[in-house]
Amino acid sequence: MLQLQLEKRLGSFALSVALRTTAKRLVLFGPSGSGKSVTLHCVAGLMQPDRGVVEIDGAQVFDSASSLDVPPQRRAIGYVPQGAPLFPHLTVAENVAYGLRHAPAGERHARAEELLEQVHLPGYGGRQPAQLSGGEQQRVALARALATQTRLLLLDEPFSALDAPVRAALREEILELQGRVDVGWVFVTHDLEEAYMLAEDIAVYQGGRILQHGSRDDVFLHPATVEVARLVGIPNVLPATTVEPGCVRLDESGVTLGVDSRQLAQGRYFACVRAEDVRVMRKDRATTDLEPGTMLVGTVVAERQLGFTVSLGFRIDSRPSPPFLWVDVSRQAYLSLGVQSDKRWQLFLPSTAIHLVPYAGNLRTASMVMSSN
Amino acid sequence: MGERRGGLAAFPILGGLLVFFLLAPLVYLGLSLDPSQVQQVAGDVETRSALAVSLLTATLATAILAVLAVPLGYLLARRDFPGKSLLNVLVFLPLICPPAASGILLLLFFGPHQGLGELFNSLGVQFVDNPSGIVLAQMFVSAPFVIVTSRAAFEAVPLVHENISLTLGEGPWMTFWRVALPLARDGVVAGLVFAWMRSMGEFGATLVLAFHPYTLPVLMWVQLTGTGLSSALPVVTIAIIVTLVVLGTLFRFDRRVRLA
Repeated sequence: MLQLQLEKRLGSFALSVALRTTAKRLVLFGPSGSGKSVTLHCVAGLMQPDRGVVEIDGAQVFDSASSLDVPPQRRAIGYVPQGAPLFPHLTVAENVAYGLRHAPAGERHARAEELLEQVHLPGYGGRQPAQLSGGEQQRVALARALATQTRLLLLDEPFSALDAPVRAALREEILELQGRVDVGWVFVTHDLEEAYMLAEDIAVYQGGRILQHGSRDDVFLHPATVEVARLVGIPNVLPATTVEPGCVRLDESGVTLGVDSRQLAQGRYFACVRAEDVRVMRKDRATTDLEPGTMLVGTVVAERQLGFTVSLGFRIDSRPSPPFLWVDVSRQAYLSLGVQSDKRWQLFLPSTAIHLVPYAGNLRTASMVMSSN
Repeated sequence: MGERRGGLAAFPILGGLLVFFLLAPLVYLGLSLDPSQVQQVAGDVETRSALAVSLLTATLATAILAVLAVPLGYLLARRDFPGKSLLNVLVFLPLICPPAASGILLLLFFGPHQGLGELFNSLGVQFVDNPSGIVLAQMFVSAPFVIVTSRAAFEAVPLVHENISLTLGEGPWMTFWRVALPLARDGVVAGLVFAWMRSMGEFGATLVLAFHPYTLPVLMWVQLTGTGLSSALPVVTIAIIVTLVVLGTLFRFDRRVRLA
């Protein structure tokens, strides 16, 4: 679907990325200012890379070596920028039909109406953009981008300006629409949840580079580096060393954890644990039937109420320096367990929940990860 | 209420003084006029010819500026090129120049025996004492209004609209025509209206380059210096009325025309 290799310098910012994907839905994910939008602009032809290659659906549209630079109007792409602005001087139907100037008027109108139906806005054609809600404008922008012979749709933070319920509904709609129209989609987002929901493939950006690119689950479950682990929302990143097959010892505390031995080679690692993968054990729960893993005992020393989830900060029993672990429980579990009054708990870490990232000799990053969460 | 506005109590007085200064001479003109005399002057061949020359040349100058200055405004707003910041300053030159100096510059360059004028002269085109010279003088002094206001108008159009147009298959020209220009329209039209008004009132540069045929401002000056204040008044009145009528029609015709 998309292949690119880009180098672009903008003031003090330098983008240097390479990527190749056959996925129908690619998400460029990362913090703002990491180069996602610049990448999108280069793919669209709205910005010229200093060096590189861009190939859409097997057709080269940019190649600095052969001075090929197909202008944006001939790249057959659809572009929905941040905030999805519509042409304010045109009606909704005129917006949607903007790219169909060469078609006969009747066909233009029919196609506009058909597209408006596809985005669940039938009969909206005569309205002015200013009369539409944010979510409706977003849908019209999408219909407009789909109107032309598009090979690839580029959506830059498409939902960032919308209210949470509208955003959720639109994501669903886009996924449903994606099943019906045969084009590739590239989303830019800094929203973790959104990235997870929309991605088939995901490229994690930081500082003008792609830290990791792969299938969604690959990236979310097996981050390649501590930075990626942090970006995909893993709050527990603990330096550790292998002690025997299937077992690592945390460097500072000496606590040993059982790990999935398949991935284990002798050496030093970062043990990455998602907060929602740690189980707080009911006091009366039998522990004999558990899957392989490690039982720990700890005290709740911090709490964060996150709506329907509660993040609990545990200090694990261990001397000399007790490790700290973030554990997410549902609000309901929090109440039924009685965490409010009882702070001492048994925690269970399944071996499969521990993902080991090779140690890159960067302890500071690891402690930064912990304190930033 | 009083407390809230207290600090600005002087503003209406200051503004009122200025409004008085601007309008009082006009009102006084109305009071001191002899309507029959205006009527008679309005019928004069000389007045009618001056009026026609003014309307025609100002409109032609504005039309040429629309074709030349609007694209320049767009380039200044959207493109980067060497010398752009210098050009941004230079477009104000006609405003900085005293009108008479502008006329002298134009005479030097477009006079029959110098500069570009010599070339035109060999082709049989004369600017001195010719309506085309009047148009040149008006264009010269009015150009900054169109360039600067249309540049500002294009700058105010979010670039993203033009980018979207490009991705929808329209090239730069159609994008300019279908998106940039319509969205910058109000500002561009305001610039053109300013230019037309400035051209109608243009006197200094015209006097130097093309004294003949008379435009209304030149005719006023001729009357004033020839036979005195009283004979200039009817021409002044006619000029003001015509300008107001044209502007009024324009505003009525299109509510989006705004000068502020």
